Amino acid sequence: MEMTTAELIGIWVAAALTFCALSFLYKDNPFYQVAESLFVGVSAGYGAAFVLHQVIYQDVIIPLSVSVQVVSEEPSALLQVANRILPCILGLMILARFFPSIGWISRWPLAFIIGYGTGFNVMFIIQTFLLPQIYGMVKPLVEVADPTVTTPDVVMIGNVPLMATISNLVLFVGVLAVIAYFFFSKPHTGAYGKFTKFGVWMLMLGFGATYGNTVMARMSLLIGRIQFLLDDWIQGAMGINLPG
Amino acid sequence: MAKQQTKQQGDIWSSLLRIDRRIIFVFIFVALVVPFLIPSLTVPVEVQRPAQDLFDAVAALPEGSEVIVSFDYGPSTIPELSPMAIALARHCFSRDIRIYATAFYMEGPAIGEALLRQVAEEYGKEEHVDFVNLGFKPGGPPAVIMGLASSVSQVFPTDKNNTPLEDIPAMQYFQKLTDIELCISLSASTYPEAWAGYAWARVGVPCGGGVTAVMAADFYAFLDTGQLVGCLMGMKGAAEYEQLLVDNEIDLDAHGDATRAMPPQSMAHLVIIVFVAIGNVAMYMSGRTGSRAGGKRRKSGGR
Repeated sequence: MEMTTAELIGIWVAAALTFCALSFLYKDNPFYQVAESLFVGVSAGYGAAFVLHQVIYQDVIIPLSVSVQVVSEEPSALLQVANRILPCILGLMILARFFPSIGWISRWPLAFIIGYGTGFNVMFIIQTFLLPQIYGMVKPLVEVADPTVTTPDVVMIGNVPLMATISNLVLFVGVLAVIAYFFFSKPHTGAYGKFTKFGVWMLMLGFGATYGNTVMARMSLLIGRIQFLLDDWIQGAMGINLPG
Repeated sequence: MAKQQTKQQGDIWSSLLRIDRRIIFVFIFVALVVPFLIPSLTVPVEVQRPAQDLFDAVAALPEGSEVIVSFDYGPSTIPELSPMAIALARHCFSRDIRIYATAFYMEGPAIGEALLRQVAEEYGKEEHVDFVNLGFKPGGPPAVIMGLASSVSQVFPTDKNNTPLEDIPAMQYFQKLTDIELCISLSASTYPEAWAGYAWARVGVPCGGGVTAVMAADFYAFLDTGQLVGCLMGMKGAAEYEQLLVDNEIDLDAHGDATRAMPPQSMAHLVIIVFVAIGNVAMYMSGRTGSRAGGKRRKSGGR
């Protein structure tokens, strides 16, 4: 596929910046610092331009100008457009923080934000994290499979699927042990101490899984850069054919 | 003599503990690059339950139904999440399922637009007919998702490129969130939780996810409870979905960047495992010989 000059320049710049960023692996150096500063500057510029165009212009200027026009033609329509005007007024009130003499005004929109956030989040936390997770933990310690359904891949002892039962037992005991570990009112000694130790092991397994996934994620990102260098830069922009 | 031998052994273990990190970087780099240059080197992609469940959920949708794909990520996680988006779009377009793209990341709409147009071209699909990019809206999940539950046009009066919704034919099928059969959040953060918490818990629309591997462990709990119908976990999850598209003869050319990345990823993991093993053995042995860098073995068992 033929590339345009702009695409070629983009790929060469991206490849150069990739090497600049990776050069930090050797040690900190001016090339890395240039790439870092560029990244920060471009991100800030993109963010500012995006907010100005997509948020301030689209969600404030246009609705406000439409509202003003509507109200100027039909003053009784003020209530109908209040839902567009009120958020803008609240937004402007936050800017009062920059002026110490009227800074107290910014507390009103903050109170609104906190109230709104709390109201939504209390229900969200209960409905998303608390109740479903408790329901999810309450499982039969011994699963019993429907004898009319054949599942050839599942190891069964009678009507009991082995792995599902073990999984439920580990879940139940593991959750209790971890909760016990975080219960500090009782000394972690004797049989109770051993049980909390099991909770620590469960936590370590969880951290290990998270660490393994983190390694996988970081490798994936590096693979993405290597794919770019091999495919887009060496093969695409430089026209060198590689095996693979 | 025996004392000198022990000291030499101790020096070897200590030197292993002091391997320059740049040597490890070189090993990792070679492990990642070489598999790309050997086309015959492949690894089998075994499909895990979360990916299979998401695939089954999409496969169970009636043809011509509607899904939301939320591009909740930026350029930094494109290698992990974009292959998922491509595979999901292929699956949806192959079944004439309309896609409505949203985003909680500012960069998400641009990423989604490029990917959806690319896959739409493969399947002869049209923007505004078979997919709509609604773009980004500030306010976060409570405002946006609950706003969609009331009325799409209240939240998104236009699409990403400022086309009014009334001029978009596909929007006649999506007036509010209950018109949607499935919401899928491709996220570099915890947005699938938000979709599950609002769209599923409050509105009753099933939700799925695609997350970076860093986030993966957090989402198993949501799969167990049925709050998410399925989930793709990292680049491996994307490779699994590509494999499912091929296995089910939906798209025989679906093996893309994620599948290509599996051999280098496996090699890199092997290198890391080897170095972790070397580090642990060296730590243990240097402690035994009492020559660990930094002095005597500490009672607490190490650093």
